[in-house]
Amino acid sequence: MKMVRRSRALLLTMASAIAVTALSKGGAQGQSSDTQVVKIGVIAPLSGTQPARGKIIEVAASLAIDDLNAENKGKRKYEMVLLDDGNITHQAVTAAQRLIRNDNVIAITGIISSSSQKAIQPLAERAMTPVVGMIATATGLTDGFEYAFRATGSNDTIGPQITDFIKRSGVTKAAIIGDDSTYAQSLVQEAIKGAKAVGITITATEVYKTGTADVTAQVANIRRSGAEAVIAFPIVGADAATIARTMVENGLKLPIYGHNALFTSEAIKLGGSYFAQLPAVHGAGSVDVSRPIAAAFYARMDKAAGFKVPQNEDAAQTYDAIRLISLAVNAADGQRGKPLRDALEKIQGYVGIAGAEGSAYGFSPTNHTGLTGKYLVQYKYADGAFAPVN
Amino acid sequence: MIDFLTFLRSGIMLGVTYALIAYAFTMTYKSCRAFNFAVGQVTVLAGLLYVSLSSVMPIGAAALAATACTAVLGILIYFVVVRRPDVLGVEPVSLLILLLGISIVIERTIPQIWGYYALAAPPLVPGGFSAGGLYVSYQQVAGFLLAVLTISAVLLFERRTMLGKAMIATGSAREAAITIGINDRQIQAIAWGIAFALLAVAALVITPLTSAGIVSAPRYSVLSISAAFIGGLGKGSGALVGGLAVGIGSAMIAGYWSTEYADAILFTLIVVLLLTRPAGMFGDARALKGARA
Repeated sequence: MKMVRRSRALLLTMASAIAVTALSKGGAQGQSSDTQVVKIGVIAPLSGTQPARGKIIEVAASLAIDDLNAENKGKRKYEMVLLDDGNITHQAVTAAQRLIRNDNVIAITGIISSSSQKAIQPLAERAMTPVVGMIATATGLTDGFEYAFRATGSNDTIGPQITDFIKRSGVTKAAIIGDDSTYAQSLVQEAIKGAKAVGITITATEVYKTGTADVTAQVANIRRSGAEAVIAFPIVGADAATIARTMVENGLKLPIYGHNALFTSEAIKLGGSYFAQLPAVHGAGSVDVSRPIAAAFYARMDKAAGFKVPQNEDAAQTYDAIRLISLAVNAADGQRGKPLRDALEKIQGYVGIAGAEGSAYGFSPTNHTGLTGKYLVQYKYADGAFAPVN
Repeated sequence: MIDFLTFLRSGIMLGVTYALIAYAFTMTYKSCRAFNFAVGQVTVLAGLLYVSLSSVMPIGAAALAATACTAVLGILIYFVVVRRPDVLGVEPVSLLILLLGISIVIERTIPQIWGYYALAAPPLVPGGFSAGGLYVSYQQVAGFLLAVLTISAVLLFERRTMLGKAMIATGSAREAAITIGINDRQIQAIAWGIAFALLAVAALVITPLTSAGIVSAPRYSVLSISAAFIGGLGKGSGALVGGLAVGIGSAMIAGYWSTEYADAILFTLIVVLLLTRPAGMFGDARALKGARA
């Protein structure tokens, strides 16, 4: 009996000691005496309609974690907890709950859709766990949230940058076509505002379902509207190809302007022969592949992924998001919650993989969108590939 | 006029594709009261098989081989996922979950084999022609003819051959069919094989016009299953009418009404139709009651 009591007392003492140590380190998990384990949650669409993007996010996040561990030898050990949301909002919420409650992550990134990030933000707010989205660009997404950030831009800066470029190309009337995603529809609204600001008349606004087999009606409406150019916001490359093919087959040979999905390898492979038959195809992206840092990064990505990775935001901003989290972790000395959030808000002038030459990430108490200003790079299709335009 | 013809052309191509998929859905339902929700995923899978095979053999041979492989897959799924649980006495609702599971397995397997992006499928017949300002590709002509001939052949098979009649008999009264000596297992396996072959034909019709990618699978499933219900669950001819109604209807609504609300309008019309005719246009209300039970 005495032996049992002694064992119980010993166990209690050990448990108390462990608890005190954990609390004194501000919630860092499972660390030994001098190495703190920092878990970062990554939510990616490994299944569903966009598994290609999920795979790229996974590879880019792994690369960032490996780099951080190589740089932080002995001090911090970064771990990625990767969960699949299938790009479905309620699955993203479940994944976030698991990451916060079960995996005790210090911050969450990934999440390709604005609607999913919007749904996760209140949970993260209650748990005081920063969410640093990497691609969700819906206007006002992080407004009103203390723990919501994004390592990307906002549609209210993307839309006007695209319409400004179109105006400089001499277009006065344009039609818009976008899929039914929150991303595309938000961008459509911002492009309409941007067009109005620079004096471009929007002649038609057309919508289609992601993964559609047919956009004939939309293209016919655009033709009837008398547009001089088409502003296209597909979320997947295959849809960009479908739009170009339908335009060519129906004799609508107008230039296309748009965002990053236009220059994915999928769009080029499926739609390249149609792009070549149009007067011009322009896509704006936040990665300038002519910058050495970006070129070197994508060479590493290709090797790590085992396939040619599209040189767009998915990989670059996932990597940058994890880097931004790690900067804040260092500044907060490994503490989580409010100190980590405050440290994120103080990040200024971080030059990442994404962003045009001269642009940098920065947050502030009033701005949780990392990329602001003129950070987009215009690309043009020529000879089977997209290349940056001066 | 040119717009009308353009919408009609794309509506017909979508319509025959949905009709083939709806027929496949209705055939597996008819044979063993199983809702095969993996129809969209199998269609994409068949399209990808066709893409791969066409790189190592002539187009015609690749189309036949992809159809045969998909039919064999259907028979395998029948024996492993449908028949065995049936023998073990698994509830119909569990069968539903099993078949949903199959759709997820296919969805997750495709990227591992074919990569993460949609692939371009070669046309059955390359080229095309313009008539009065309307461009028509030979793939559209060949796809349309292939779809109509395939559906007609399967309808004739069901109505005119002993095997086809045995299939209908097994579907409507399995116990009675067994009593008169019909091998229900064999008949159901044939039905699953034919259903999956129909999905492969749907892939041959649509993927050369678009691409073969898993992103399209959910839309194929939703619109085709809707077409099956519109035509009347269990009716092959109903699947054809339902498919064409959904395909042409969605193209016309998008063309003349609204692309933004095309799906909402289409599904509102479907709801109105099913409220007034719960068994669909050609369906048997008694069969529907049986399905509910």
